[in-house]
Amino acid sequence: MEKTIKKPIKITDISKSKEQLVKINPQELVPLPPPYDKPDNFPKIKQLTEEQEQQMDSSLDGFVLVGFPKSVSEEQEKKWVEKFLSGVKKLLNKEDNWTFLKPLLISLEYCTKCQTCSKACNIFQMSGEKEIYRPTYRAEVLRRIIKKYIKPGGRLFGKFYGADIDLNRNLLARLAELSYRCTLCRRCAQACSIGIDNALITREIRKIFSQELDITVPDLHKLGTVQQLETGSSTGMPPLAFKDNIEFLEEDFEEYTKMKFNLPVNVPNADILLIHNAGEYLAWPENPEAFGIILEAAGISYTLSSDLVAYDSVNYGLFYDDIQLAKIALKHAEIAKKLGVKKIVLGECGHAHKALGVVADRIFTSENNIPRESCLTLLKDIVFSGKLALDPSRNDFPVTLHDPCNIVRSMGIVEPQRKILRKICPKFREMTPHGIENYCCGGGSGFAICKSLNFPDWRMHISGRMKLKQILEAFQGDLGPENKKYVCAPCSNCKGQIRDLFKFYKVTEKSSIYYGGLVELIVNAMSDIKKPFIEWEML
Amino acid sequence: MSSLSNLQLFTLVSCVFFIVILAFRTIKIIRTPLHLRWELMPIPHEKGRYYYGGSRYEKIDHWKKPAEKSSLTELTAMLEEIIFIKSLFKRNRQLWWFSYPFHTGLYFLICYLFLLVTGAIAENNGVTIAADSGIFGTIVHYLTVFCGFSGLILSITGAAGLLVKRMTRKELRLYSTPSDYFNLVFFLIVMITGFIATLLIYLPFTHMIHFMAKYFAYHRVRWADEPNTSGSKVEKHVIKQLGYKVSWSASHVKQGGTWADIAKDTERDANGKNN
Ligand code: SF4
Ligand code: SF4
Repeated sequence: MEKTIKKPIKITDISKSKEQLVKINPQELVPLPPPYDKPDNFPKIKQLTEEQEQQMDSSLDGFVLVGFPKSVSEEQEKKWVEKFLSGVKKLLNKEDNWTFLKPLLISLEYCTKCQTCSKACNIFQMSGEKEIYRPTYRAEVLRRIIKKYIKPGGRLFGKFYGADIDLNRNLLARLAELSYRCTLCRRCAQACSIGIDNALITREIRKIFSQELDITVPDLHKLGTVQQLETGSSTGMPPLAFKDNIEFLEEDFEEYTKMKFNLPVNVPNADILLIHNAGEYLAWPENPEAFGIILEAAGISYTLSSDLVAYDSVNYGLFYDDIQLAKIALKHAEIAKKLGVKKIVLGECGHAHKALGVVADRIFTSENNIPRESCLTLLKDIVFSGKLALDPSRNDFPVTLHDPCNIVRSMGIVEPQRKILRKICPKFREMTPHGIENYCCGGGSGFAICKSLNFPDWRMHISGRMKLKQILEAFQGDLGPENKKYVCAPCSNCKGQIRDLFKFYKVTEKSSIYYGGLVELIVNAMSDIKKPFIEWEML
Repeated sequence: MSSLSNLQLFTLVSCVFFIVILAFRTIKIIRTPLHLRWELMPIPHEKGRYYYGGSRYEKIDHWKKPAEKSSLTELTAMLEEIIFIKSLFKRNRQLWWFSYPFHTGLYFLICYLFLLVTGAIAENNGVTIAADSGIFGTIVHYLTVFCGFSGLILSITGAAGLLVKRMTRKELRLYSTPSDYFNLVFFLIVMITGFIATLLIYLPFTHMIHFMAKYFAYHRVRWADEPNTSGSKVEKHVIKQLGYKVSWSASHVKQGGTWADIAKDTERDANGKNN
């Protein structure tokens, strides 16, 4: 392992330092509540193998997600530097970056460096204030590159304006990794009184690497958006396998309840096209099943689709690439139009809500602009319509709610899910803070599905730390294994992250805390279904 | 007719200069294209939902329903920011103690300059501005003295405090460039020597005109929730911008195409042209 830098880290160290910038020592992180406060009780941080160390650059913090090549010829370095600069220029050009130029310019030119945003960032705070994770650090690197290499007079006035950074291989390798040490939760942006958005700048840095240098995170690009466009889903599930899954769900439910059950697929002219995150079918099939039960019981006209891309609401383009974002959003709309539905309803997947529900709004034109809606509003309407016979005493266990950043902070869907929980879960309690000031689960911006190398350990120790702390605090006084408790997370990515956290810290084993979606709780309260829907041992 | 004194002339020229550069930087932001939606809660014009950060997306079939907007809550939120810098008060009290007098001082100084120009114009037209002149002249005189004096005291206290903070707090020092210190030092020198108009020539080149950016950050980004409906102005922009040429060079981007072309080019991903 490399030596770690000792003195306080400066902006320029990203290109200058020959040593690893930060070493994560679990003892230095903000402690979790007891009995989770002894770092020695949990798995050690996975070290890279010697071979991996030789191949990939880990000089940022010892973790690798992007895997920037370690040794690069001078010629290749020059080429990358040139490409990066051409990417920066494109970022500042209205044709190539009309998509985000306005917020980017504001964010680049008017930050007062007051650091108010740092107090809002769970990653920076929980890491024990590691400088490189400060929301302004990566933004300041990009700012200084622009000042030195793009602005007229940059090299001349150099240091006075902070144009003092050297764009070299070290910087590129570390910046590529660093752009994936932020979950794009936008809590920092919300805290900034000027309106600077460091999450947006982070995403713009990812865009340069992806759209200009072909440097991406394989989990998000090759196995994510590309695979989704190629095989139909980022899970790799082709349309035929999707249909098999649907049949399995129908049989499973019928067998369990002895009730007839049908999941409609490709029904033309239904009112709604319902799209789930395809990960649900594989990891939490009870979630799409519960949706089916509720919609059928409420008499809603809807359909699923088995068309390529349309059975997976995932759109990882939201996290790193405007072009992939647009391609997938258009596909979703195209299939909805083809089916002749009145609207698309998005299942419990936060980033799909934001990608298709909000951000893609300005990619559509009249021919493909189809209304999109959150499942949470629809579910609230159903639950309060009286169409379902609900018995809250069936949910007589403590429940807390996680707010997915993309649904809540970025979209303002705050109350529907709460209204439902207040109605059907008598022991519902909030986390602190919650609602639009919630903390990210730590799996945001695609991290929940990033399983390569030793990055998952970073997710467990750093980015997920605050959420775990909040969950444990919500059940304070009841952290023993005696009573079952439930974290409701209406988002696939958040569930993936919470699943991994619970496994890593043995939360279910030690404290009987389970997790799941919202629809499962609704079905669990439906008195028409004789057996309880939530099977604890299966969660 | 008395002619303008050199100081008055310089003040006037500085004001014009300030406005021109500010306008230039404002236009730079205004001229950027309509971006993809990127709002951030809370949105104060959301009637009945602002207090908890809710939005129209909480309503079923939201596109069929008229937006329920409240200009009152939006105006209140703006005034709280403009007059008290409420967000900083809430999130960074330590800094607010200096930032607040600094900004309030600036408001007074702007009034002071405005009064100076008013006075100059008035005197040029034969109206005396002094303690014992007519009602108008007396009011303008005392207001000028009050604004100038309060502005000086408040902004000097604020700027000095901000400078000390910037120099002593590690997290501020690490990110400060020489120009950041210079801005505050220059400000203090100008205030102490009283040559305020000089500031107007320098300020617009710095991030210290962020009040303008703040307007756009809030109104055009954070709170900009205007949907894209058929035949709307938004749609016209979208159609135009989808026709822009794209020059991004990664392998998943169709070369030489417009945004509309590349967004439909999913074959590229499907046939493995991608890495
Ligand atoms: S982004 Fe905002 S809060 Fe953060 S340092 Fe800049 S101005 Fe301050
Ligand atoms: S977006 Fe979230 S994780 Fe990223 S810097 Fe801001 S607060 Fe931290």
